[in-house]
Order: sequence, then structure tokens, then C-alpha cells
Amino acid sequence: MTQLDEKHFRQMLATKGLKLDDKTFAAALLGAQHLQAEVLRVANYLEPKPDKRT
Amino acid sequence: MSSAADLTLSEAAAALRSGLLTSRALIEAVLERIVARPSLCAFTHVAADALAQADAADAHLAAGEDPGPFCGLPVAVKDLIDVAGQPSTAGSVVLAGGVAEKDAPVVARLRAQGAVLVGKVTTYEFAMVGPDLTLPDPPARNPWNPAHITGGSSSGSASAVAGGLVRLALGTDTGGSIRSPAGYCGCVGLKPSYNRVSCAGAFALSPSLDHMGPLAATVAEAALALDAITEGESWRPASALIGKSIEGLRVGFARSWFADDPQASPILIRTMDEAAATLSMLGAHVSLIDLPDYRPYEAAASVILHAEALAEHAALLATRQAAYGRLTLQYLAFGAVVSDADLALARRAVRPLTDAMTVAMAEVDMVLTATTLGPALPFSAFDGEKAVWTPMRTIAFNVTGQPALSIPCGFENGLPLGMQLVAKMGDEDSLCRVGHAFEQATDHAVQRPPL
Repeated sequence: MTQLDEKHFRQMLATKGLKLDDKTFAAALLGAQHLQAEVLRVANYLEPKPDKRT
Repeated sequence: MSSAADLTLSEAAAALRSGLLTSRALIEAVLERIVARPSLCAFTHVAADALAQADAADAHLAAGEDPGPFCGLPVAVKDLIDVAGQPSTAGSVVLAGGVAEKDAPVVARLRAQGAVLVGKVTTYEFAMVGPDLTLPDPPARNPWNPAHITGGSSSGSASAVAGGLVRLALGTDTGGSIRSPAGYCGCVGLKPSYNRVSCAGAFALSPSLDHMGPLAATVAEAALALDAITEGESWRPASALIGKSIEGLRVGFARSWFADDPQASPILIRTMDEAAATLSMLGAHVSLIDLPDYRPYEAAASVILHAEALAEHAALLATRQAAYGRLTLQYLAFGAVVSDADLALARRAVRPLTDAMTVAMAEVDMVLTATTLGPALPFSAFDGEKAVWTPMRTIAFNVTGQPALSIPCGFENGLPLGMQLVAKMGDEDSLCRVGHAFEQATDHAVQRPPL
């Protein structure tokens, strides 16, 4: 997963009907990038781990 | 005792039934407190019919009728939860002017027992994020130092209880919103097991993680309240074991869970060590325990919470977006990046995360850990432009659904610190047993802020 950029985030917001002013958008972008990292963390958690006994 | 408002719920209930006190006198004392301490900004609405409710309770008792243990006792309700005839704004301009037509089931249960619903207390906007200093209504203030936050989102509930306005307030907890303000303000916060208390009639934040429960002055009062609002008959009463010895109970001290975090304050770590020692002296078998890594819990919860919150607000956002506060809108916007597949992934993690916690706690009756990693921050740390997250150890138990109790355990620079006890599903009775024993062995629960 590549890091979310401004353009893509604006598209995502538009899909949800969200319109943010510039200040709110900048802070929201940081939060959204963090949330994407959290998705990766969950995916990593669910990945099968190699059996340490073998 | 300077005021009837300082009586515990049990003391007041006994006084009402013996004729030493009337509900009217009790509610008058509470109303006097609310008026005398406006700087807490805890109440957003005081019920115009509070005294009429009290008179009705007095009439019941005078007629020999006893609708239940809460007859004539005051309760405040977070302004996220519906109380018939009272404003219901969820702390937002979006819902300004709204008045609830009917009681949330939890409120209806209390009303049926004769409780006096004295008013609504402050919440972070839609229980999401705060304090937002740009909103028209001021945030609740910490009774121990008004320059500091209360934590949230049950901010007014904690401020009202810790500030001595009421002994009991209802709150909600999706990621720690009962426990963190209780910890920061120096009162008791009890997040029950998932589904033990109905969340209907409250504005949902994230239905998979939402819990409703009491904030109270003492553990016994929190337990009494939980028993009054529990849904269904299958749960053991939370107050059943209050006063019993805790000798032999196995308490796992999850010290590394907070102490290894560089954000944890040294005073908090020392205070938690003292709390563990106190439980040991009371006869509990306290042992160090390693819980699973906190971060995957937080990650899964964040994904679920933001996706569900955005879905809950879709209809209002379509018509009232301009009325949302800046921080709330920002918070909702995070959820736009969560795809259906991401949400499904996070939901799939809940079972293994819960199983991992169950395995980790297999050899103990409950876990002791910190609620937050330090005392409440000052308002000056919040600029209103972006959200500031305060480190906590709470949201894991919104994922697992286990009951968790935050109780005062000390102070740092004059501000309260909270410790958290976490038990297995349905074991609120054990939690309250240990919490009460700790309270009785220490003087934290009798400390009062310098108001």
C-alpha cells in the first residue's frame, strides 16, 4: 500500500460527500495516513506466523 | 456532613426510607451545588421538573410504595443519551434544539425505579474528540484544576461526580470514554461487559465497540447503578460481593503494558506499584503478567471505530455538515480511507485478539493496569486545529468486550491518577469486590477537590 496522497484523499472525501477547509484537510490527511498504517498493522497481525518449532 | 448532596447513594436511600431525609431536600441540595459550581461547565441542562420528580418519589415512599433502590436519588445523564423531555444534542450544534421524545432504555429503567433525572451533562461532540475550544459551548473542566481537561468523551459526567454535584452520572465508552475521564478527574468509572447494558437511545459512535455505564463517587455506588441498568437476568449482580475479602483472588499486574511505554509518567508507575502492593497486603495473589501487544488492539479498534462512525453520520453529514465542529469533521474524515475490505479485515481480527487476551488471563481472576499513562493535560495543549491524543490503555477492552473499572489510585501534581481493573466477561462482581477493597484500604476515594 502506497502512502495516501492529497489527490487520492480528496477523491475519497468526495465519495463520502465530505468537504473540508484547507486547515481541516491538512490535519485529516495526517490522521487518514495514520489510519491506513493501522490497517496494515491489522493485516500484519492476521498474517499466519511461521511455526517457531520448525 | 455539610450537605445531603455528599451522602452516598446507599446512605441517602436509607435516609429517605427512614424519614430522615426527603427526596426534595436531597435534590435541592444537588441543585444548590450545580448552581454554586458553574465553572465546572459540567451540566448542559438542569431539569425544570427535578423537584417535581423528587416530590413524586417522596409521595411513593410516603404511601409505602417502593419502586426500587433509586427512588428519590439524583442521576445525571451524558448528553448523548435520551431523557424524555430534556434536550438531546450530543454536544453538537448539529442537533441543537432537539428534545428527546422518550427515554433511552437505560434511563427508563432508572426512572421506573424512581430516580430523579436531574439533567444532562457535557460530552465531547458526538462522543468523538475533544476538547474542542471552538465549539459554542465550553468544555467541562477538571475539578482538581480547572486549567486542565477532564478527558472524554464523558467529560461532564466525570466533572459532575468528581466535583461533588452528583454521586452518579451515566456515560458511554467506545475507546475509554468512561474510564479515562474517571481516571483524570478522580472518580470511579465502570465499563460493563459488552451488551450488559443497552446502548439504545444513545447516539451511536461505533456500535461494535460502544458500551454504556456509570461514573460514580465510589465503587459501591457504581455497582449499585450497574445493577439498576443491567439488561436481562443472566448477569450476576455487580454489587453482590462488595465487602467480601479479596484474599486468594489472583490479580495479574500488567506492569509492562504501561511502564514500558516512554509516555508513562514515573509517578504513575510508582503509584501503580503501590496499588499492586496494597492489593497484595489485602490478601490478593498479585503476580506480574504479560498481556498481548496493545498496538494491534488499538489498530483494529481504530479502523472499526472510524468506519462505523462515518457510517452512523452519513445522513446528518449530507444535510448538516457545516454545523459540525472542526475536530469532529476531521475525525470523521479519517474514516473515508477505510474500505469495506479494510473494515472486514479489522472485524476479522476481533476474535483472535479476544482469544489472545483470554489465554493471557487464563491463570488470573483479573488484571491490574493503568487507565491512562499520566494525569490530565492542560487546556493549553489543545490548539483547536488538530486533535491531541492522550495515551491510554483502555480500548483493548472495547474490542474484547470485557468489563473494566477505573478507580482513583493517587495524584501527580495535584491531579488524579486512575488504575484499571479488568476481569473476564460477566465478572463485574469480582471487579467491584476488589475495587471496593482497594478503596477501603486507601484514602483516594474520600479526597475532594479544592472547590
